[in-house]
Amino acid sequence: MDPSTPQLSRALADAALVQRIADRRPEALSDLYDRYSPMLLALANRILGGQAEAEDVVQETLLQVWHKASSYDPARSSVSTWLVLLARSRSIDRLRTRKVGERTATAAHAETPRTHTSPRGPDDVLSRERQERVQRELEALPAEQRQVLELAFYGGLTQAEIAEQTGTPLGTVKTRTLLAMKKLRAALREEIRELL
Amino acid sequence: MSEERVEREDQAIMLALEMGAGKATAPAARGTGDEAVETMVRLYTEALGMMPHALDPIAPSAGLKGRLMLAAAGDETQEVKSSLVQRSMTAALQVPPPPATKSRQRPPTQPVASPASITRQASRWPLRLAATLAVGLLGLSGWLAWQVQEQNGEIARLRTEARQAKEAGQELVRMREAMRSLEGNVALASSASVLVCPLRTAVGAPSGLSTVGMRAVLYVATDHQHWFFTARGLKESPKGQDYQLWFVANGRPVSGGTFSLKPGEVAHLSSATMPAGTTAVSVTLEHQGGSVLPAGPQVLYGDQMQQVL
Repeated sequence: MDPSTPQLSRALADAALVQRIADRRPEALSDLYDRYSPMLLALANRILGGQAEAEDVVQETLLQVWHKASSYDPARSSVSTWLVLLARSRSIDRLRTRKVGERTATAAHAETPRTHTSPRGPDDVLSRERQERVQRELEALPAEQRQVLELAFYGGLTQAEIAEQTGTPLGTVKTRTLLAMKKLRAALREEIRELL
Repeated sequence: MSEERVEREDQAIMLALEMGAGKATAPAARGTGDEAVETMVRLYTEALGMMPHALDPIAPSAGLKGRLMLAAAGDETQEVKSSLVQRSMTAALQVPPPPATKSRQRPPTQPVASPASITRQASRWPLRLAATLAVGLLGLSGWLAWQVQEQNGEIARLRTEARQAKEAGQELVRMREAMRSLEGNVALASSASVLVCPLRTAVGAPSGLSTVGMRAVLYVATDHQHWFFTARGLKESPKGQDYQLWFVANGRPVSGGTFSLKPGEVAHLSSATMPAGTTAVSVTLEHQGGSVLPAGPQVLYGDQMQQVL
């Protein structure tokens, strides 16, 4: 392993892990679970606002990976992002089955629930650095830009729905979203490069 | 940056946001046909994919991994089983014809499968069986771990419920005793020929110990033995001190018991015996636990026994 590019090595290791899962190796699924379940659980919990339901989402997501690992296309996304999209999709599907009012309260305005940090292994020093970096960059966004981004990503709301919910003109919502995304991408350029 | 490029970038951002937002298949997932846009979609998708990394990770419950591995192992077993069935069916369809027919269809010079290849094919079955068993055991161990955890949780919950039920039972006994005592006191206070002795704030009593609406009464049954004392509106007993009830019989004080009060509480004392020759009743403030003889300031006093019914 090249110590200068630990994240890059991790991205490659992730891809190899998915390949082994496609070869029906349960221990590879176990490794993927160890590596990503705390982050996926935090994501589902942020969207759904309850750990029990969030755990169901994580189980369904990783079971989907177990069944569909061969469909993973590294040209489309990194393993990390693929898992995030799968878990987000399942969480938002569940969210949409709830009442609109409940969804609004849970996804958009609820504070991030109290969480329990999982035990950290040696690899997780890098994860913690990445967490701090992403947190910093998100916090650096103007509040109104961060709000539309979180409503779109965690709430699964369309631009029109965000405009309606926040009482903001649609054009303003789009402008804020585009600005937020461009800033985020620019700020996380290095991290994204490591995943590609 | 050209206007066209800006438009493409904006389009890519919107496509990236749509990806994975529920069941709807995003257009980007199907491909836009525009390589530049698809590259940008990829970059913005990765940027979005970084967002959950900002959240504090959550440790899954102990049983989650077991459930996942069990589910995966269960599916694997199903797949192996169906594979075995399929192989069996295929093998059944490929059963060689009877020897007589075989001898007609296959010339004697046709090569026969070597014993080694037969052995190799046969030797795969134990391996597959072992693999299936291993996967099954892995799942089973996960399931068992989950079961143990669930049972431990259930035991803890039942213990808590048992403790609460015991406490509730004890509280019920206390309340029943209090109810019985109250019923007895009410019966005494409302009985015919009951004697009533109202107590009033004593001359020289410390200020601030009784309220404007203070009311204290001693009820004595016709047998001159059973009595019931109640006081409402007395202030909280000072720290380290108790109120003490005294019967004045033949000029000598005899203790009727002590009581302490919290704000708003009503004092109740009762007994089945009373000193003979009682002519007056008094309440003093004594040190905690009471005194043998009155030593503290007198708070209430009453000497007017009246028959009201």
